[in-house]
Amino acid sequence: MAGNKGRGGCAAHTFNTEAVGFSKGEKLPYVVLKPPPLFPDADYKSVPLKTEDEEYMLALKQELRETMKRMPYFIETPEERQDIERYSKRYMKVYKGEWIPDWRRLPREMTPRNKCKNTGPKPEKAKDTDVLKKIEELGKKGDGENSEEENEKEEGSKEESKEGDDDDDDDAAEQEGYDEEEQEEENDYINS
Amino acid sequence: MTQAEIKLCSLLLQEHFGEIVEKIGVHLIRTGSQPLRVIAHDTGTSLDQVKKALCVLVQHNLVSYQVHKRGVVEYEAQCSRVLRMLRYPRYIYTTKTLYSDTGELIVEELLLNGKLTMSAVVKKVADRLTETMEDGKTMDYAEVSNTFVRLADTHFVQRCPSVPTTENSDPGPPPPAPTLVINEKDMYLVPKLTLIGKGKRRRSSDEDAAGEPKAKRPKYTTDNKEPIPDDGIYWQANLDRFHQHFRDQAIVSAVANRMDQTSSEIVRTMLRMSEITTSSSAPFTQPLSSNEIFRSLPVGYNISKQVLDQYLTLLADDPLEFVGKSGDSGGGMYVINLHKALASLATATLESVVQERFGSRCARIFRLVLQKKHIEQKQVEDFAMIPAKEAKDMLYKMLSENFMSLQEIPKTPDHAPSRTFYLYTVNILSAARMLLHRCYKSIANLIERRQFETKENKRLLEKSQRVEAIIASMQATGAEEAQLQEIEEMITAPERQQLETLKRNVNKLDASEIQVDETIFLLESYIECTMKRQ
Repeated sequence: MAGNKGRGGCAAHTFNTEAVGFSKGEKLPYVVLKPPPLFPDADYKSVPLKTEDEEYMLALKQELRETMKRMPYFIETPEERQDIERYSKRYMKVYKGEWIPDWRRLPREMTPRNKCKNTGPKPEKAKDTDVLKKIEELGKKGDGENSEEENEKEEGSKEESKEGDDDDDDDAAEQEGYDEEEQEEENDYINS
Repeated sequence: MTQAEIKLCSLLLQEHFGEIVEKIGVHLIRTGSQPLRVIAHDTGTSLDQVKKALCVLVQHNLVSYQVHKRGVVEYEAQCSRVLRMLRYPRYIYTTKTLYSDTGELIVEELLLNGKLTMSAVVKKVADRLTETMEDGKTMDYAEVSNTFVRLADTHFVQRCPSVPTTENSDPGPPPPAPTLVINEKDMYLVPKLTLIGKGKRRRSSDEDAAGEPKAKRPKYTTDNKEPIPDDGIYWQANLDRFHQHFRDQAIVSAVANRMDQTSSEIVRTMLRMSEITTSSSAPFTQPLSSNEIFRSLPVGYNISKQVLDQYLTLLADDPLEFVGKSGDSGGGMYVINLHKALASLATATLESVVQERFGSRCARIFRLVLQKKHIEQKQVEDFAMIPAKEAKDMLYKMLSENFMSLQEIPKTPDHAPSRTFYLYTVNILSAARMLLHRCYKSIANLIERRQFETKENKRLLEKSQRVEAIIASMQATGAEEAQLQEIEEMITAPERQQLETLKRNVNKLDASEIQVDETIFLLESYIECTMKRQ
């Protein structure tokens, strides 16, 4: 109902301009047409930081940050295997302590299950023996399956190497050895 | 949880625990409580990684779990607890001022590890202290234990809820997750341990670099085969107690600023006497009689009883109402109005922000509106004695930044604008919330900038670290001055300058983070106590 007045002659606002403080005919402030700037200018310079008393806390903060990175709770993301390992990396490796949580305090589903992936490839290998064609077929099928298994195992070994447990490193080494052995065997069959 | 809070939590988790924990943690904060498999599926991480991340988060009290019906265990993240990680340096520093180095290290170990048994804490701290002592001296376990007991007595550390001891005759399968319980009385009960031993110095041969066999890696579980005497009793830092201490500190310093040293000492005494009798969320302390206060004043202060009474009357009459008089027995019963004090502190913070952002005239208008509660535009010009145009401009600026709000009072039922009063008002609670949100955003920006600066100069930082390592190893093996000089020159002068600039910038950003956190503490305490009251 108030909007109808605007269509006729001069523009009228939905609020009373006088009540909000504009006298008649005065220029209204600009309408905001775009979002505010990303780094707005500050009208006044900010109060300086208090640095005298805070030196100890500052040092403490920085030290804490560094210490946290070296704790076993800091789980690093696995880096992709680089082709050439830098010599200096060996000197900068941080040896992290191991941490085993108190399983009694955690839900039972959190305990790591024993991984039975090692039993997988053994029965497969037993099958690739008899007839040459059958061997080739099985070999081709085995290649497809083996690559899938190898991917799984690589993922598994990557996770395990992240956890940093002694056992898992051995497992991963074992599994990697397995993969190489298998690949060699497959190649022998196909070439002959 | 607001976007700013989630962003800040994400940055904190990433800095302290790595990206995997960050991904899981942020997902839980965003979506609420979820079971294990759903988390793994939604975040696209493998089950093993999720389990490891959850173990870390539960250990640090950032995630809690609950068994729902049908045996499903759901995990929930505590966003506010994650934000407390910003305050760790302040907790540690406070303990240092109260209990010196031993206490500082105890609290540091508890915060770094989430929860620990008392024997583990004592051993670790003794080892660390022994490292810093001169050759031949070691730190005795008994001294560390004593400090631990004192911390427990003053409630700065508390026991974690523990697994209930079930009888063996319980039939059926064990529950999917233990329900941890804690008895109120036992929360600060220190187990009777006789820890005998001294701190061990780490042998320098253990620190040799590459080629170490894995067996020498230090283990965080105990090496010794004997059973731990206090197995299963874990301790954590009691953050609420620290917050209470910070609040008391803030009130005392406010009184010192407003009045003088003596009145702040009186207030400090009153607060100290009420530490144990008043819960942290009470609106005011228990009434204390003037006689009691007189007896409990610190030994160095010899003011007479009359002077004390005068000071108390002065404090009680102060418009800020930090101290109130609740009765006349015992020479006058006085209380400290904790909630009012927090409200005053929050208001002072708001005023200060307005002043620094918009200027002192704006601050004058802000204080005027605060005082008058609701005020019309015309009256603002008159009372503040500022020309109309400028007053209008300032009011609108503050309105657009949400420091103020408009209250409409219609004269007629059809709310016609020409016949409505528009009053400016400051709603302290909503302004405080707005400011708190801005603080979270500021800290997130500061952390991002610091990470950016560090990443930019990563190559240079690594180079300088390598050079330092080389120099250290050469000094250990005994090298000539000339050789050391040569190694040091590997870092050129402009590079050195770049490092200096980087260090200065990072220090500035870190200091800013610490100070913004102080503001966050005040605002959060105020909002919390106001919400409780409602």
